[in-house]
Amino acid sequence: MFDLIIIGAGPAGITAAIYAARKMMNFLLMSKDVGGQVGWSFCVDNYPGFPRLSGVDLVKKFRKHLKEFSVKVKEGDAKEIKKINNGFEVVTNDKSYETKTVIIASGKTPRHLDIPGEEKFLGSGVAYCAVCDSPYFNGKDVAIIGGGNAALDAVFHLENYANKIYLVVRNLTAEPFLIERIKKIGKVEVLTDTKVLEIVGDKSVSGVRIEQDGKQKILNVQGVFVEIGQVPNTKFVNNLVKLNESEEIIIDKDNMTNVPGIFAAGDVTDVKEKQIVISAGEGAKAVLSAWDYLKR
Amino acid sequence: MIVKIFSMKECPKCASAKKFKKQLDEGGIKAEIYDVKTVDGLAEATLFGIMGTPSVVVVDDSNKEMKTWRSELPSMKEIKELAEKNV
Repeated sequence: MFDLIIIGAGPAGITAAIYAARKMMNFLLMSKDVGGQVGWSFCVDNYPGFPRLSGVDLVKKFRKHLKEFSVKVKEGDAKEIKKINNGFEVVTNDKSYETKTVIIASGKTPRHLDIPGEEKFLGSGVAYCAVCDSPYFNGKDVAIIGGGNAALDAVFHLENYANKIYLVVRNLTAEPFLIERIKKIGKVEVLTDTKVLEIVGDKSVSGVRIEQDGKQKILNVQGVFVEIGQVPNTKFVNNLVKLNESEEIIIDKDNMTNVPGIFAAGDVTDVKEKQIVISAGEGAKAVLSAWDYLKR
Repeated sequence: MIVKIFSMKECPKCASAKKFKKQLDEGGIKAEIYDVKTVDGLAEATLFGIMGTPSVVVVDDSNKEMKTWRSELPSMKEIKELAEKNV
């Protein structure tokens, strides 16, 4: 039986693993990938010590740091957590693991538009990850849906590839610093107060139907990047721990959930701000609380 | 039968693509991995209408498309079933 299983290897999970390794705990770090949403960032400019670093490069540093403590990431996707005698059983697709404590740091995944055409054209013009899919849109016209920091981040990824970028938003809510930067990119056209109704095409995307000032029209684009926020990855524990109305895990000041022995950290929790540096700090807090819990 | 895997060095979702290629190699299934950031990789992806990473296209010996997974990886079980059918 493990002392601790950490689910997720974003900034919260990685920091928790580093602290757990320093405490010489018998633990498992389980995740589908390393870095989580950090790897999707064009430029991370607010992580102390690393100004203007790309998300990919920050993930490389995270990986290196884990290696220095000989922490290996067990590739896996937690499907369920069950209560057992003296702890918990974490169930994955192919195996189950027993542990005394758990830290859930499973992060978030992109929110979908839930409009006609979105699912049909996934991988045929509809994308949720600009860092993964930008090269496919070399010389093409694209629409980025969303007005937050992530949407503007997608603009910076695509500006080296796309011919024309429409930023389709209801409101621009990104940081002013980023808005100023996109104004300097000539190929970007911002469409405000605009609603996206449908993604159209034959074998691949040929346009999006939008509504602006009560009038509908088709915007001719070959790519649609959906950047309208994230939803927490909590489905696998929604019958076990208490969630808030946004389906985030409710934690106390020690990162404990309503189930003693289950802790949570990072974007998956109800902690207000979702930032890399905050998630890292929360991961540290969670593992120190788990350590105290085990000593009781 | 050849399994073509479309991936990209910088793609945070693509770590599993490399492992998938290794699994295929170990299982004796012919597989090729393409980086879509390279000219050749992107050209190959375009040939099969791939616009998302990671994606997988399985072709027969005459390079005819048998099955495609867009912006996702199939399981080894799915590939083995396809290989059995191809035999």
